[in-house]
Amino acid sequence: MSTHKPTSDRDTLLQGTLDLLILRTLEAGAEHGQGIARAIQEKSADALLVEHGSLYPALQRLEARGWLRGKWGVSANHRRARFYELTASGRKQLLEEAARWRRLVDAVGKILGPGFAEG
Amino acid sequence: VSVLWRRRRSELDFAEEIESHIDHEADRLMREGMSAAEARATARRSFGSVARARERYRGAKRRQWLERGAEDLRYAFRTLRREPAFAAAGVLTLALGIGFNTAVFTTLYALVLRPLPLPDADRLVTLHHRFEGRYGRAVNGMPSMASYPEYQEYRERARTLEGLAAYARIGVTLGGEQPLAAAGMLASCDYFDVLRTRMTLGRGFAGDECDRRADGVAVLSHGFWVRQFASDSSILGRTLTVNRQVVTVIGVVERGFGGTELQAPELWMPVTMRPRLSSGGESLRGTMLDARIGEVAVARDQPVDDLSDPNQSWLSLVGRLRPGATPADARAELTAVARQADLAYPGRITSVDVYSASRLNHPETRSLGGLGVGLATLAITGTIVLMACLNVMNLLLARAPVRQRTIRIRLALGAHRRRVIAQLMTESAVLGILGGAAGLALAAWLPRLVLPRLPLHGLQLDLSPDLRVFGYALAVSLTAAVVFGLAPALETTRIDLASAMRGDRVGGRGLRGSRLRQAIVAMQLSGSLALLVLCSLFVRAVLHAQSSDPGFFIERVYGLRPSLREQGYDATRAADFYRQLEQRAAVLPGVESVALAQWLPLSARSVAPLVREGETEVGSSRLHVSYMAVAASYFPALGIPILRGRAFSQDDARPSNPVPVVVSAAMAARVWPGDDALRKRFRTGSRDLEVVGIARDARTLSLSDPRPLFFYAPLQLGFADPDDGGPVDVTLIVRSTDRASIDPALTRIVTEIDPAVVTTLESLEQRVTDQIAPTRLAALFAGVLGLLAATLAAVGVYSAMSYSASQRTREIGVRLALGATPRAVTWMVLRDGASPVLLGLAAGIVLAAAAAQLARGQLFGLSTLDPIAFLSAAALLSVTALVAMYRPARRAAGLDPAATLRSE
Repeated sequence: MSTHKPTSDRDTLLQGTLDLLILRTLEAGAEHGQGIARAIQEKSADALLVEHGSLYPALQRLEARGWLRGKWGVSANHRRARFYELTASGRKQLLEEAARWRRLVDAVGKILGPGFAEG
Repeated sequence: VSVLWRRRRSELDFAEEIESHIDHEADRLMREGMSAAEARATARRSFGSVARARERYRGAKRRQWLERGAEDLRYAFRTLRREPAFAAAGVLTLALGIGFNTAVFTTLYALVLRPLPLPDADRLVTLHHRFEGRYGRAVNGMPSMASYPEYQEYRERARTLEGLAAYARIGVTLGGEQPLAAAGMLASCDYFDVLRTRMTLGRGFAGDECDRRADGVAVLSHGFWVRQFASDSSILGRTLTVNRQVVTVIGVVERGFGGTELQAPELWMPVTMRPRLSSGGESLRGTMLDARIGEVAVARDQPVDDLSDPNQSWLSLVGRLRPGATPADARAELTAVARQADLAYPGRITSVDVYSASRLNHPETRSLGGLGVGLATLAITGTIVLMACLNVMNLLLARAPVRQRTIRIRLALGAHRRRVIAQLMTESAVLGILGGAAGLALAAWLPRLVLPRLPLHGLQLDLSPDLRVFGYALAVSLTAAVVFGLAPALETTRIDLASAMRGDRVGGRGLRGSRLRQAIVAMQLSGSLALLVLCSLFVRAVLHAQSSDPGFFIERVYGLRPSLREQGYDATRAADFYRQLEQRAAVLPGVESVALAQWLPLSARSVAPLVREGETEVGSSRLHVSYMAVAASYFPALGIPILRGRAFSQDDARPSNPVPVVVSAAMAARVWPGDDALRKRFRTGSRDLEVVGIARDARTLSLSDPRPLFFYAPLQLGFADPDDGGPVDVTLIVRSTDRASIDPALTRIVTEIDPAVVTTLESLEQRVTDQIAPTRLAALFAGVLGLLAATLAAVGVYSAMSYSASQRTREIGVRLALGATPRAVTWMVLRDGASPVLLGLAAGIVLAAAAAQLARGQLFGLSTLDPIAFLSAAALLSVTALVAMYRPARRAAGLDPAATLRSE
């Protein structure tokens, strides 16, 4: 369906969303990549499936901007894993992103109008 | 720089993170009830487009290779830290191999390459004669040495040399209330100038002191000054009595200066004092130098004054090159000078060799002193490095399946294989260098362990590591890293990507990997077998040497050797001295028998070419025989039976022509094969000799020579023989009930006869122990290394067997399902693993036989193919290998066929 679309379009869209989801997930505490992916999937009741090919570059990018801090540690499974935690500027960013998302959802909702195509 | 690193995470780190993700996902799937393999495959599949993840991660930037190298290095250290057991095993193995090898190298380097610790030592050279053609020459020391006129000629005419000094060792006795034996050195006048010796006190020799009629002077070594004169600074101007000559102390050299030789002298005197210091101008001809140093004295024909004899080898030469001149220049120039001297000796062609000065210079000591043995040892320890490499290679291969998981991802991420190999090799290099560093530490410590156990004393040998030693160790370490790292790196990265992504374990590399490991096992076994055989050969040789009859008594036999020559005794006075000594010693309580002989057995040798009666030319028979002068009482005192003919009588103790001699059975058989040796005549040097008796063979020269070509000449005390001047220094041999009772008594007798004479009692058993010491040490090292190697080989056998059995799990399952008994399966697996083991053992036997041939000199006549040594070592190793093979085989037989088939 979307295979003919230029990849960059979908990326831009996903990028903002994924960043927000990651930041929100980490608000609860440090977590490793697979844990973040699982958390997003579970909290959304399997509605959102994180594409791993995007998750790690996103983590990388967020870390590069200084919103996340990555550190190697040992997971509950006794395996080595790279844990990510929010930095102070990450928390600020999360609030900004969340507010922007709310504004976006609000705006889009207004356009669609109440009751449109709702199950 | 570290900030930069922290900010930009490495590709490797990223690959690991992804691997960790897949692991966690697989864990989760397994909790949900999936099998391990299935969970992994699913986790991997669901990860999705790894390549794209990587592309985004990497961005467009290309990294510099330097940064990559740093990253590889960091990663390598982290990997090793994360696997401490693996790292420790690898480093330890390498350290042992490289340590032994570097220790041997350090010793050889210190002996023949390392510049002397003297100012501008790189311009110091040593000069050595090489004679060819037909010639006769007196030798006091080594044939390559120079005469005093030759030295003067070279010093005058050499334009390539700034200075040229000559020196010769001389044993001296310091007179006084407590006479003292010391190591003396005769040195030419400019000796200290050429070597640029600094003085703690006073000065070196000045021109007029080197006149042969000048009053005697001496320069002391720093250590001797501290020990004997309590660092007394008023020593200058004091007189000492040295070999009955009065000498004035004019200087003390700086601390640490010990001349150019291996053994540091304690005092130096002008070389022109030689005639006075060695009794009355008489030549030292007939002096037999210590066989342990490997020097050989050859008979001379005419007694001449040492300083004017142009055809006598006794002086060592050391020169200083002019700036810009090379040893080759000096060689050409001095050889030309020597060829002019050849005009007086038709048939002689002389060359002068010029080497950079080091501790071991004389070609004779280089060859006899064991340079060949040293190089062989270097080669043997080199094979230990190889064994260590094989072991580390085995470890790396065993780890390969684990490493491959990360590597597969990296390759899937699009990394070049070359890049991954470079990273793996960096890891090997780090391992190699760590091993090398530990090895260097071991190499620095080993000589301290080994040298005191060898019968060597007071050697000036600098064994501390310098840049060249470091360079050598580094080169060995890196070579080792390539040897053990390359094959596993190639093997680990040989991954079929498609099957890798499916999560297959084998991926086409199984067979190659197991072949490689089998080859390694075979090589390890052969190396350890060779070492174990050498060890048991050495042990057998020590036992053999201790238990086998040397042909003379050893227990409770002592030798007393007063240094009369140094005290200026002539033959007549010496004869008086010995007769008194012998008479008084014989009646001491506890003494069973006494005898006079030139030497205690096992201490020295004198070699002369032999000419049978009727032959004319020297050397036409090419037979060289050794000899020793003994009194009639020698044979009964040492228990040597005369097989035919007679022993010496009292009449033989005075000159006669021909001189009656007793030959060894071996010499009788060799020199006159198929003929009766009795009453045969022959010549050595200028003496005519006649065989009057044949004695049973005895290992008089060395324990390793059971049947020497040897004869006994009668000791003719007090009589000047035609070319000798009569024996002055001889040994009193005493057999007594115990040492304690005779030691002080004999010393007292000597002091009562002449208070100036110094002497010590030596036991023949100690001589035997000294001769056996190197072999004992060799046995210890070969044993330690052999057991180490065998352990490594056993681990190798075990892991190779386990690996190949696990590769055949499916096949074994099928066989078991079809009704094969566990016993049959055990046998099948054992048979399968046996071929590299048998191959290794066979190669090891060949290797051991070759190594034993090299070590022949240390075996005391034991056969190099001694079956007990070979069989015991082979049996030990076979049992070890069998034990290592048994468990994997049993485990294979214990497989549950249903489970193995299901898992596929």
